[in-house]
Amino acid sequence: MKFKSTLTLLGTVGALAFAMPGLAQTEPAAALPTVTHGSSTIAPTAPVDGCELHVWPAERMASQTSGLLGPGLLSSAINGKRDSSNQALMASALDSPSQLKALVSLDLRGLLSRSPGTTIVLHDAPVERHTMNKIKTRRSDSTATCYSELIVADVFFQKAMIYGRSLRTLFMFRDFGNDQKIDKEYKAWGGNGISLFPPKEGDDVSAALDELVTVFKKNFDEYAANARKSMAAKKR
Amino acid sequence: MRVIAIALLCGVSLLYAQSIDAQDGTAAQPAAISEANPTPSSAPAVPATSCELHVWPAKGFHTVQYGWTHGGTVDGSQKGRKGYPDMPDEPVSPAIQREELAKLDLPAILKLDGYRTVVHEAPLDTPTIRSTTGRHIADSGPCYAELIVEDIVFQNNVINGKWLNVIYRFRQFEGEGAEPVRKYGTYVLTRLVKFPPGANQDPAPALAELRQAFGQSVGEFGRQYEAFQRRGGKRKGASITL
Repeated sequence: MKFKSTLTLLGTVGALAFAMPGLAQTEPAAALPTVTHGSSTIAPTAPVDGCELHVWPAERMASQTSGLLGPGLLSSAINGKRDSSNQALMASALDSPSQLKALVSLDLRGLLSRSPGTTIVLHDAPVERHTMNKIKTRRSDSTATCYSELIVADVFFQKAMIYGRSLRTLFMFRDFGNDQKIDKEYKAWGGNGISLFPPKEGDDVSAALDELVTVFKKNFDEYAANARKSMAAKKR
Repeated sequence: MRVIAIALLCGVSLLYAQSIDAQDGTAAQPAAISEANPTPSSAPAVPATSCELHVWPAKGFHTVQYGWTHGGTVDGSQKGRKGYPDMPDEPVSPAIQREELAKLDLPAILKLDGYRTVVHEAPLDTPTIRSTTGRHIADSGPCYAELIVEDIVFQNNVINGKWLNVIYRFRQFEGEGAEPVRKYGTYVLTRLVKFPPGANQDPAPALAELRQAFGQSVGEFGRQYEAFQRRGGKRKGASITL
């Protein structure tokens, strides 16, 4: 039971491979979103070609702080309040609107090798995390003949004695083509170092909260570069 | 002699009128203006010379939890997820926040002499709060400040207990400047014991505790701001993490 508890408190400990930042931030997509039924669409500047990219924000966020004692139940107990506060600040700074705003400020079509005529559909409510892998069909009721999905699964902050501070984000991209079957899928973490977060109570938090969004975008940029490579390799 | 007496009388009357204005501006906080207008841009026209503190309540109420077997899902309680405690609907809604804010002498808490308070009805959305570098009220006067309750988060850790985490942003503008002359934002933690109410419990004490915690956190924010200014805007010192 104690081991299980420890694992829960530690959050997503499984994926801890640190990646180097490789940035190529691009400019925002142009048009303003139009809102319909809990989602909003961003029409492309190029002529619409019937392709759709649906995007969902993350609902799961975790913080793991360990220091001189290393990770473990004792460390979780000592740093529990700090981790809870970190989680609360992440929930605020990276709430669903902020995640979506951060993602659409990037060139999602270009970064995910979508056509310039792809319409981006933003879903306000996150995907229920434990259904992410179970559901293998389209999550929306769209019947587009060219359909893909980008799901933000987890946001994970880690502070460790050896590795320092990092923010990691788990993304999943699925390309369905014209049916309900997944043609291509790429699920991986993007992670980058973070220097201002977490702020202490009483410190000015503005820069630290802004940094979360900046690193979130860097993480996607890194993930997308790996996704392009992986999907290009699968084509051969 | 009669002329001097009349002049003195007029002078005393003028001083008396000025002192009433000053009282209206500073001391009468419970009678703070409560905006009926939903958007900041539709705030009422006010004389450009008066000092104003505009206050916005938070839109969101998030919950986060670290439990023995569940944790990590933001707003797991509101979503009715298994393992997350039941949560009353909008326990600290914008209307409740406004009521609590109206009880406080906000200019005194923020050391703003001669300011009157304008509490807005409609919250600002979080991307707007974070991306707006200038004034949220475009045609505001030369003596203008903003206090924004950015977010309210109930955080629950199975080991360290329950806390109300309120995130504030404060900015003060002077003259025609578009950039704030002073700005500060931080989070304030207040311990909770009764909230959230149990399934078969009377929710009133827990809800009252939450309201009280919110009110206390505003005062604490003022103290944190004062301490921040005393530190000259520097971050708190580093500490050893065990």
